[in-house]
Amino acid sequence: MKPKLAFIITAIACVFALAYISGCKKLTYVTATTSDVNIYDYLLKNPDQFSEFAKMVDKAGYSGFLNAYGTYTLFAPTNDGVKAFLTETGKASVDAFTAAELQNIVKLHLIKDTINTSVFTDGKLPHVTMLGQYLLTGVSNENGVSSYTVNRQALILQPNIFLSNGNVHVIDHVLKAATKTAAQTVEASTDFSIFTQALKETGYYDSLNILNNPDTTRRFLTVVAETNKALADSGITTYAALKAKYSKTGDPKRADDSLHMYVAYHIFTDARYLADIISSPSIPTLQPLEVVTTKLDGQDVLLNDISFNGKYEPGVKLQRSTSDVTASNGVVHSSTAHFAVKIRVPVRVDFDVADQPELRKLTNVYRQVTTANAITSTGGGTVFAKGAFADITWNANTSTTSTISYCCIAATSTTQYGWRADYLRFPMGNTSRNLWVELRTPLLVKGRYKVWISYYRGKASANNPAFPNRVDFDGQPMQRTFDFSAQKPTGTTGELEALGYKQYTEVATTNTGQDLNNVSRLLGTVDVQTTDRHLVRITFLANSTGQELNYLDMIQFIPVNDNQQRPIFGRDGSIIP
Amino acid sequence: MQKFKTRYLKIICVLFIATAACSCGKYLELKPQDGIIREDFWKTKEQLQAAVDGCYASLLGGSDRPIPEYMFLWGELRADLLTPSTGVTSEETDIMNVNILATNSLTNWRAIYRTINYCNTVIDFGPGVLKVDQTLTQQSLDASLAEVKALRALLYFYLVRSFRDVPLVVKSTSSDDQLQQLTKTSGAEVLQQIIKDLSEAETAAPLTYNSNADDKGRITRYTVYAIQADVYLWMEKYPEALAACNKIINSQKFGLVSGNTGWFTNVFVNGNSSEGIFEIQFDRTKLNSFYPMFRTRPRFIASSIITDPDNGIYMADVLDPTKKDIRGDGAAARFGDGLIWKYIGVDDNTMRVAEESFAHWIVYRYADILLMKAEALALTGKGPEALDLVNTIRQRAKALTQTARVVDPTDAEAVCDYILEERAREFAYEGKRWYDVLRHAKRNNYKRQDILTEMVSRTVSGSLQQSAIAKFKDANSHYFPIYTYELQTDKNLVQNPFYK
Repeated sequence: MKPKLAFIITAIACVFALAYISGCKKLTYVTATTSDVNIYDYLLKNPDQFSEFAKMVDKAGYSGFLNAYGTYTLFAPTNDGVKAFLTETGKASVDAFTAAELQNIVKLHLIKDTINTSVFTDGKLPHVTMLGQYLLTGVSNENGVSSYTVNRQALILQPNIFLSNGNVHVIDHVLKAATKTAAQTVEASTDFSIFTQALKETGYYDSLNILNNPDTTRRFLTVVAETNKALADSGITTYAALKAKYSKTGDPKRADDSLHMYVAYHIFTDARYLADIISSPSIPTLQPLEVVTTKLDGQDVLLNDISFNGKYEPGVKLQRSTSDVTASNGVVHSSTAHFAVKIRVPVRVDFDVADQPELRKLTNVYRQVTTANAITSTGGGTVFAKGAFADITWNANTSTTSTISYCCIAATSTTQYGWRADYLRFPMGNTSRNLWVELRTPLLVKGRYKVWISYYRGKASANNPAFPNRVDFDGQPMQRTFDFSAQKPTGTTGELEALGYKQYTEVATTNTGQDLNNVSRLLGTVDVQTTDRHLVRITFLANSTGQELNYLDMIQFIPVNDNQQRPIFGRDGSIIP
Repeated sequence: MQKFKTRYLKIICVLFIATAACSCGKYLELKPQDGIIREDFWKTKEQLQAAVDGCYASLLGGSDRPIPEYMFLWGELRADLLTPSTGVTSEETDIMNVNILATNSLTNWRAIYRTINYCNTVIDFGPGVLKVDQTLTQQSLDASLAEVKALRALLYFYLVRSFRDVPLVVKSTSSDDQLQQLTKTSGAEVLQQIIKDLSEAETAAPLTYNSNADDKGRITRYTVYAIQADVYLWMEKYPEALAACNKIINSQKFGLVSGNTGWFTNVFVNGNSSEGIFEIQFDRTKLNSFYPMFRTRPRFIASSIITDPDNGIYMADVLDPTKKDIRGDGAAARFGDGLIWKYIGVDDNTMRVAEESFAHWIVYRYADILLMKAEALALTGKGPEALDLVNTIRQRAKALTQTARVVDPTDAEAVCDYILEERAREFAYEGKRWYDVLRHAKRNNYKRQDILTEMVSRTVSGSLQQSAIAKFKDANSHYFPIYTYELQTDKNLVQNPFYK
């Protein structure tokens, strides 16, 4: 039996051997997950392009971490770029720099994140360089060829080289860090001589002259400097004239001096390039509680271009060619016209919530009495999905009940008496309906206001509980809640005012029916801190699925010392004194 | 013992053969069991016809997006009539913001080249059928070849306008050993090939297929003329463009559908109207991709240039809302919510249901011919005639007087600007806007660069505006990059220098 066993084993072995021979080819196993090189290796692998810059990186002592795991973006200047830089700085070779100098140079070319050209804008890159200065990107066109630029100093020759520890963009010049602070940058231009003197006299020159400010909120600052010409256009040709116009106390260093305020109003926190400026509707200035509003009109960047109280106030244009100047601690822009803090007294704002620019464009919807716009027992109105309005948002669920709608009724209606006969309807509730709705107000001048919310009362079922809503003004809850399903109580004007209600429409005061359904409710008093557009949020408070019939007409902001009762408002749009 | 040995030997032999057979890559049966191979095809005229039909069918999409979707995206994304909506993809916004990288898959031309290859296959193998099938006449073979040549020319025309320099393939790729690493052909040469294909197709393409649906859905001689007119305008050869337009107009086979309530239904909802010249015909069995695109979770809605009653292109009559441009609200878009309406509406306010989303994609219609003729006239010093044609289109559409312009007929640029604006009104969302803008801007060596600059300053988001304007000053940026995958697989392709 033994030889048999041996034979079987040999036979099986033969079969396997044959199968192996006639079988597949030998596999070469890949042991590394990627064959991509790291950033420093990439520089070494392309000596014809980067041998000089590689030397700089090496001497700066950064070759180690640029060859290790990480996420970096390196702007790598070519050999020609480095040579031009050497000539410019009068050095014979890279070795003539000290390691510390090279560190500063290389740090400006390095960002601790991976950034490719698809996130480039007209402004700064989203992350600061390791040197602590932002890089400004853009596109320039030379001889018909457009390329990305960095800091207006270098063109990107080859963007987006993806390596295993980050991205490399090849640039044609070495980037040079800004050496002047914002204050020095303004001072260096003779166009800004009057403004520079104002900076110095008010003490802001020193605040703008601090590098690496320990107060991190003022680590970067943005200055909008006025040229001498801009001032001259407003009749100010010397610093003395400027001082005479504004400085009432005679000491511009005092915070309550108007010249001090004028300068503070021209300085913003953070490095804000033009692209950043137009990305937010308003920017706080160093003058406490004062903001400038921003606008992009065609290609023009405008400051303080607004309509206020029904009047248009043309804005101030920033000169693109002389703006976006990077300083070591911020950005300097140049204004083409003179502007200063506007002194405004608080003025009442009757905020018609349905008067939204997006709605105005819909001529077949806006203020049209149609079936689609009608108020019905289930709600009614033309429905809008989230995102339809720039100034209204809500926590929409996917459900169709969490949209909002626009309702418009005939001006002859004997039930609804809303101003201009239109409402916005917000379904409110804690599940599929909206838990909150947020509206941006028109411009409110800083000051103290009483806030009235005016609605047409709707109650879906007599069995429903109360549906209180809280109103937050800029995140601060108001003193009173209100309920879209609550009627106005009965009583005389004086009694009602004591209870926090009033009659705001033209409906006859009968203490019955329609009179009680057109409600204006006092929410409390707000202290508006800045002259700006503010946020009002209505939050549903009841533990209930809520109802559809919430018709908001207007929100009034009336200065505390003004008449709170009059004028009243008509369905045809009239304001009755 | 001996017996056992033999048995073992047998087992070993069997095992060996079995292992050897299954380890090798050879198959005993060479012909596929589930398909037909080329040697068995191209035998009858029916098979030839099936192959031609296949070329058209491939336009409707299969493994890729339908070609009309590319035509829409390529023709509208870079222009000014769209606003991104909730469903928009980042690749789409990147194109809208002039922020295109070669990794943007919308610049993949694969679907177009697939159909071009189908056309090439017919051109290569179709003539062989003549020898095998006696019932196929030379005339009908030529007609079939004319159809696919014109289709190929049309697709190359889309490529040359979108990419400028593209590989020119006029031979079919029908086996693995024909795969080649192609180089790019300059846009001018591609245009020459297009002209050549069209002039060959012109003589042989049928005037009619004796069926209205076929006349609109397949390429007739009039389609060839329409493509010619468009190509010649692009090449700035205005007398030739004019001649091509006149051939269609003089045939008196087409007319404008009158601008009453039935206009939208006839032209866009039902399709194949007397205005249609070439339409890519979707139907119940093959739906277009526009319903999910514009309705379910809209990727785009109309921009304010369409809907704005004061500054838009259609405007609104504030005093008398019953007066309106029939092409605006309820046709191009539903202004109430900005939905792009041409492909999802059944009338001015009712929407199609999802399973009826088969609006045709209209490649050319008669209004296009009239406005192309107007453009050719304007640029050959015949301004008054050009303006007459524009007015014909405007009257049909009941355009509002607010949108009319008083133009000096001798000022060719002003007349062209008016025509460009009228084309935006007439062909909103028909995939023509970007090509129209680019054609006007690039005329006379980019004499009208300002049209592009003005457009991007309106459409691109604020923080990218200056970059986009500077990018557009480089003519290379007006054309798409070659998609990364194509570059990796074909080492002979050279990327558009703007995207390097």
